[in-house]
Amino acid sequence: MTDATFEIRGPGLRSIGKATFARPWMFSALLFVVLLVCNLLVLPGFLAASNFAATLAVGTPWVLAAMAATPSILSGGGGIDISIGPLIGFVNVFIIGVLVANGLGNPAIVIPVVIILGVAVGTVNGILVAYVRLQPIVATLGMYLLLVGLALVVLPQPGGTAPAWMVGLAGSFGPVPGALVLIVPAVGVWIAIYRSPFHRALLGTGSDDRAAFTAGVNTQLVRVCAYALGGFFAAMAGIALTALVQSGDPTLGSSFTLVAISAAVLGGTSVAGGVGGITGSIIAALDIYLIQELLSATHVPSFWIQVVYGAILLISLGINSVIRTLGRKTQ
Amino acid sequence: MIDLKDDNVSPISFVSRLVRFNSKTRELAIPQIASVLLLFVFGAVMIQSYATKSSIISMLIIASFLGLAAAGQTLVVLLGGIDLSIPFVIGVANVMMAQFNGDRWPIWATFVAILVMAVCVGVVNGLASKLLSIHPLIVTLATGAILQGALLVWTGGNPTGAAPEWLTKFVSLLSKTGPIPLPPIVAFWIFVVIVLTVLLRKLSSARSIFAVGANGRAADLTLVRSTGVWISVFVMSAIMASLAGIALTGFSSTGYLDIGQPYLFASIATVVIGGTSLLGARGNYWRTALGALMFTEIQTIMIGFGLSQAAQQVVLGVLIVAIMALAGRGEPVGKRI
Repeated sequence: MTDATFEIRGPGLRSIGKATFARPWMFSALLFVVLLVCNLLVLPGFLAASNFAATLAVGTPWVLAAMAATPSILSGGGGIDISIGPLIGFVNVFIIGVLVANGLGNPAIVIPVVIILGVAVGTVNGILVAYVRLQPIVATLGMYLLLVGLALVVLPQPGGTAPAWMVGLAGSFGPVPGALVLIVPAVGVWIAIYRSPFHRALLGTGSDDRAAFTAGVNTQLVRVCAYALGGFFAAMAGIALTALVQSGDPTLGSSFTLVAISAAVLGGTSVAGGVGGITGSIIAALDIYLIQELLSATHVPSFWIQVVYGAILLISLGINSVIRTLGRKTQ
Repeated sequence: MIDLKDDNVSPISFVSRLVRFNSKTRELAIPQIASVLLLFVFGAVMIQSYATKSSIISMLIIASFLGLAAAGQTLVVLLGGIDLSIPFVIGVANVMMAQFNGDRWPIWATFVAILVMAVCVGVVNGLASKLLSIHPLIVTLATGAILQGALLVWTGGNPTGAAPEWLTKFVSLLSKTGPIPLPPIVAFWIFVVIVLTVLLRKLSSARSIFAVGANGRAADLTLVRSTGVWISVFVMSAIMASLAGIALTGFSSTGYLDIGQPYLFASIATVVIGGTSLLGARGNYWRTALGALMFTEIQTIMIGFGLSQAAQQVVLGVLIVAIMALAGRGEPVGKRI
């Protein structure tokens, strides 16, 4: 019975902190609720059924990019993949400039080819990090420059048209928003991984690779798989981006890297590795999307948007860090 | 028994063992010095007018900008952090210099204004990274976004003004520094390289950068004020980036919002190919200076071969990975137990 009296506590900052510490994604979820309410106050029709599919389609590349940034960070050892943005951009120009241009715009060809491309790029990153033992930021910087350059070679000027079936991905297939066709399989892959022993090996490698290694985990293979998984999600994000913009643009991709990494961190994934997950990244990517929606809906002058966006990011991360520290002390 | 995977067999590790056959070669940066020389010989043989006086001086000028931009990055990396706000600080300092000069501010007032800006950016970066324990990568990304936005708000996306004449001369290919037949910017950079390298070696407060970079908690226990170290390093980084921004005004002759952008990843690559470890506490600024020379030589050679912008990026990406695979590999996990 005494335990029960301890259980009942006021909703003080400390208990919020404790909850946030236990669930890294909690803060981004709270932020999501606040931002959603703000958005609905400013734009009452924000979630109306008529434009829900379109709203979701705009956010989808960001959500998938944030998912792509997460596994490499989780794998630890300074793990980070800065090449995901350029990979998303390269997938975009590859679909338009290579596949569609050669009459291979059929979804049965585009989707598997692009996914193999993404996984292959991720695997190369992973091999450079795990077996060649380069610092992840250096290895993926090399890949970043390579992909930015190749994108310009494949499609020097923005242009081209996406195949017709992609229109549905940015709109809806009957009553189903097209964006879900991309998000659901991606989340499904993560759920399958979450339930598999690989997930535990990934977090173990991320929090202490030496301990994981002595416990018999093949830490090198785990890291390669983590980067390959990031490549898979980035390929999905590239498809979503192509569906959204309906053309090819070699300069679009790079900007995704930094937003995706900040979304992963805002979602509670620790840059030190081993803590966090994709749930938080998805919610935090929606947070960032909602912040931008809110800023444009409230007619903040476009030049101010970056200032406010940077400030909100910094303040949110600060609050997140402070309440998590409080939560850790409570434990 | 634990299998401490010995990877003697792979060709990459064979070459990399050859390159760093003992700790002495690594200490003296033999691979880096050899690369700078070999790249020069390669360029001189393959490209006409590569080894002329004016070509060498212009390479040195370009390396000076890169070296100044990467100076602060070196300090931050020694601390185990990373500074992505450098390109934005360069941009702000560049636009402030041109704009205030155009508004006929006295030169000292312009410098004070830029210094105040740099100190503010550095303090925010250092405080948020250390006290709120948010990774500096993310902090500097956010301050960078704020700076870029502030610049747009201030100039309306259309900066005006012009570089003062003395600044244009300072970076000009044709000017000389007293008796030294080099432009003042190059002489200034050489001065910075010597001073910063010596200070990092000798100054006890600079040694605390290495202490914090090696192990923050241990440094705290030995009464190193690590918060102060974090703040002063980020302030130094912003000041060095501002100097690069000011010098670039002489080059661009007007304010240009995106002038710092090429330095975002180039500053990191320069530090890393020089042999300073991203894990912190290992390296020095003279290594970064070698990195800046290598980087500039590679770029000049690629331009000499007539490679397109896109092809240059591809080659640079492959080269960075190749250089690091030869000279900058980490230890296998089995050997760290």
